[in-house]
Amino acid sequence: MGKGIVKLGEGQWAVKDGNLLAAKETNGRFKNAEFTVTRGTDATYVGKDGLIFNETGNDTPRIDFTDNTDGHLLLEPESRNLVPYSNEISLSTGSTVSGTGSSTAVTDNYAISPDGTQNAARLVATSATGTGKYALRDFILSTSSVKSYTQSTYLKSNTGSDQKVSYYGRDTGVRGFITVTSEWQRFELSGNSNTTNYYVYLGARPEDGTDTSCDILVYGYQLEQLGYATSLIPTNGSQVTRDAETCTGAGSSADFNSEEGVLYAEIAALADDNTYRILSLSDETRNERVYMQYTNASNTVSVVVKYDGETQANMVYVLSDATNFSKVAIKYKANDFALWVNGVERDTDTIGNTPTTLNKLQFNEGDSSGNEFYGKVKAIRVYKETDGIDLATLTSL
Amino acid sequence: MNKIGKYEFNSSVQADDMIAALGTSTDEDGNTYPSHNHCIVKLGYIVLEQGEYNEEGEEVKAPVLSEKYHLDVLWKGLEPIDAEAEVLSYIEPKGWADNRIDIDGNGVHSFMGLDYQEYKF
Repeated sequence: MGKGIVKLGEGQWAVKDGNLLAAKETNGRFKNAEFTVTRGTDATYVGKDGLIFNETGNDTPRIDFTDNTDGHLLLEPESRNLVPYSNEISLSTGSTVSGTGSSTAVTDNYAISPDGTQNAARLVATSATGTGKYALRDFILSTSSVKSYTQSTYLKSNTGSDQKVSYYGRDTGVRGFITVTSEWQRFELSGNSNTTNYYVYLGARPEDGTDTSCDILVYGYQLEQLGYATSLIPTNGSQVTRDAETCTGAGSSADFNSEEGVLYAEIAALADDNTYRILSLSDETRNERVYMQYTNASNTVSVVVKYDGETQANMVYVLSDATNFSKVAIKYKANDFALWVNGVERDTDTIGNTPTTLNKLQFNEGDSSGNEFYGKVKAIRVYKETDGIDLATLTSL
Repeated sequence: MNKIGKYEFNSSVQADDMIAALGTSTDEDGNTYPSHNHCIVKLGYIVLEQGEYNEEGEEVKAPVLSEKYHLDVLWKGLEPIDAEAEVLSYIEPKGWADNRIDIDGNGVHSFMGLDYQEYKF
């Protein structure tokens, strides 16, 4: 088969409309291996300079730099922002106050936001003190059944000092306060509606430990019917849906060795949501595959080898937190399989065959759709051999 | 070609039947998922008049809801009815057009970056 590596990422990203480029390295020469990326709508991402950008090309992959300088491929499911004005808070929220002198005031388009333009709103809330006294902005969504929601918003202090602010929703746990600093931060909370509504409140409620008044900047008000927050979906007068992404079909049978090799990835889950999210090498069916996945068990990764539709190896490891980046590798060779995670060999299997054909690397269960890998990907490597690959070093954090 | 359609149905059951008819697949664990790639948004019985709630979220006045169940669909990769035609036109899978509605503007929901008026049938 000859030596060779298919590489993706590792701080080197090349994207265009509809394509994500991986590199095939053979004897020091590089060629492209193209993933096909689809997404029917725009989407946002955090650029290298820390600003939020709107990716206006449908189907263009997103390389997101949130919390890292190398960037990661961001693949997200469909989601909808249920707040019709994500920045014009005066239009999307109402004032809910209790107590003499309690008040709220909103000034839209007041300050520079995380997208670099002047579209952050200013919220000033002043509350009377005592039990049941507050000054809040409310967003209330009518519902007809109990559903799970996640609210998120970017907040920043407008005074130069830290402020203790009330931010809660229906069934989001014991009310308390969040600390809003002089840096933009995104705050997230998850809760459940009842059979009539879900609500979000933001402002001052001193009985919960907040300051009696707050002066803060607000941007990117978002409410999603998901268990976690996804990238910002800007709205301006209606609810807005961002389409799901798919990333399929890189490589050919010449690029991969079905008899032996290593599939390695540095990945993080969007959430510990107990769903299957699969990164696969396959013959474009589910019968011949080498794949790694987050499983339907909490914080669990597994690697699996299939031959003729039968499982040959299935090795499992429980992570401390699947939303942190992990380096995962599977070594596959007849009667010689191993799972490496974060520098340590976690499991082995010494009985089993390898697939007959592997010709596609894709972010799903292997037959082009189903159990899509929604998550973050910093790097992928596929080796065509097992000898001489230092898996301890490769997978060390 | 991608197109946006807005639809109303007599019930959620009727809407779910139409969605199911677009096709599903089953994974190894028996979970079903759509075998198509269209983006279907269940708006449900949309709110025509907002409800009123007190500070504890208790309903003071019920919202007025549409009697129809609403879906917005971003149809992806539709083939033209006649590829030789001078002006290409497109149609949804069978049965959907009967439930399609047209509105001014984008309505209560839109797809990110896509103007309904530009993408409608």
